[in-house]
Amino acid sequence: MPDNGIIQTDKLSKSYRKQPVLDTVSLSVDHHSICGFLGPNGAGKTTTIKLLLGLIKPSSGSATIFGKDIVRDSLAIRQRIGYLSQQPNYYGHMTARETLAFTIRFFSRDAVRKTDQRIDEALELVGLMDKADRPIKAFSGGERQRLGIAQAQINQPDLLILDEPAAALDPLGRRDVLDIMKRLRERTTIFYSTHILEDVQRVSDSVVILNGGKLIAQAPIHQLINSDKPIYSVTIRGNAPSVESRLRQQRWIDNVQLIQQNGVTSFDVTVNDQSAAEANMINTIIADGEATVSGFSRKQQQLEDIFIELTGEKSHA
Amino acid sequence: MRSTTAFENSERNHVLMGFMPLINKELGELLRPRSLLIQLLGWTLFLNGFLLVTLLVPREFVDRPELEPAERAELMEFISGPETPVMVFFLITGMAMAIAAVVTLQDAIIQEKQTGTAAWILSKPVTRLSFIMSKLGGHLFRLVFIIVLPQTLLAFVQLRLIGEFDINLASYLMALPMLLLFVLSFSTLTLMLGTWFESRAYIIGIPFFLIIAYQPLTMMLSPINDALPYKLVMMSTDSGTTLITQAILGQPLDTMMPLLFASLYVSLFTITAVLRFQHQEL
Repeated sequence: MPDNGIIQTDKLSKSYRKQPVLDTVSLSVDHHSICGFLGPNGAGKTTTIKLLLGLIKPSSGSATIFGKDIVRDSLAIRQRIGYLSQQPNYYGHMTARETLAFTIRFFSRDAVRKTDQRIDEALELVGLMDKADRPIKAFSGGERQRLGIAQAQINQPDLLILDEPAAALDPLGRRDVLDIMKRLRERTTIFYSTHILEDVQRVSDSVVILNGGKLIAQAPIHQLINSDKPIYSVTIRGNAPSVESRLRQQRWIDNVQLIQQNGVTSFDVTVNDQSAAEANMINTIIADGEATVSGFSRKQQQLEDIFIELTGEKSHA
Repeated sequence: MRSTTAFENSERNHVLMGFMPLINKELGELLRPRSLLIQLLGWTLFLNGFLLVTLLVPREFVDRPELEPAERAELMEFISGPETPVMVFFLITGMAMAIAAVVTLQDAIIQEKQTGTAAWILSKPVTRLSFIMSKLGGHLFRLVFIIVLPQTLLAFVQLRLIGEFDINLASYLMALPMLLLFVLSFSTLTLMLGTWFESRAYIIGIPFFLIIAYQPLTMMLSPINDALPYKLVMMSTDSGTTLITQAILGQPLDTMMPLLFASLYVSLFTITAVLRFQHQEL
């Protein structure tokens, strides 16, 4: 198991009645990074998070957070983390301010003035200052989610674990949550699960992808998006079969995909040698004079494409 | 945004980590003025009102002219002593409190598990022992300070002033833990069931059955009645009164066994609840 991550799991597994829901997952999350934790429904994301928090126990394997064992040292770990659950639920009769005051008491015995200041800062951060003294039972889903983020970071944790932090939010609320996460990254590592791949691509440094309880990908996001084999998109006019045939004969090309849509013919060309492709591709296409190139660009792969390719599922975004 | 306040993490790992904020929350809920007033008034009206009726009505009933002298004498003998009102008051109090304890405690664990607040609390540096103990502590506080002491002290005054019975305050106070122990037998059972079952039907049903069906149960289980808590407040011993009545009236107790067994059950149920909750998946 590598030893440089704030979260390290080693063949972490969880089964219910001999049915594995998490199967020998070994992942690592770097310090001071935002790590998006992806996977279709039932992939094992929430199970992993619950294991990390000590809410459930692993069937086999192990994991550490801050170098401490998640089973043996759970209390010490929980002193340094903040957690937002998938469906945040608090005591409805309490106000937002009372909820934060209640939460902060688990971490600190600071003077009231000091904790009040901390609570005000948290309410300000999530934009709930004007609703601070209203009972939570009257809060909307979005407000509850914001309060969830406020309580999760009230102890200034070294690690924030957020389970679907933007799931219940409208686009504006989502944007606000991403902004909050960007601000929090200055002082904490954020490990968050989500279905919204667009958000992951916007704020995350790395991603971990689970499918069917198994880890299927783990990489810095730029590495995953800009893979070793670039794809070029070429739009042509003319004899498409002849162009396709010529392209397929080139050693620097791995794959050619013909796309015909609305009378326009284009190719997605996956290459294994970027320099050779950029030097020779257009000449190859127009070599017999039966085709012309009307568009040529390197295709920016989206995380969603990779996610679908890896899991075979479309995201909910 | 970086906080301007320095953070002092003062708690160190211990088995009751997080207990204080949790018990403060439980007490805060109980002591909200409106809720406190409603509970105090409700219990007082019900229990002390019942005692008042027990103390007043029978005299009118006995004074009815249509009664034969022999019949009247027999009834007078029955109501003239403190045994009947004391026994009836504590039977009703014990039964009502046990039912109320089951109703309030059945939610303590299961609702928090189902709504996710238990998982939220336990994602903080809080031990599971603290979580269970805060529930039990809040419950005990409620029993002692909102239900048992105010109503039973008022009942003492009623018995002395209206019933004109010569009851010793020290004996009276010394007997009250029996009532607590009786109620705790059912509340800790409910707490334990809350850690075992996900369905409220079992969590409420089992203790309710044990409280309400105590008469057929004690008849069926007569050889082991001393090992059950009923004789403390609900079921008469060989001398015709309950153990708490005997203790209040300064009489020697017929048996200590129900007292010992009830203590054993309370400990056993509490320990089982704690152990079970330690391994519960949230």
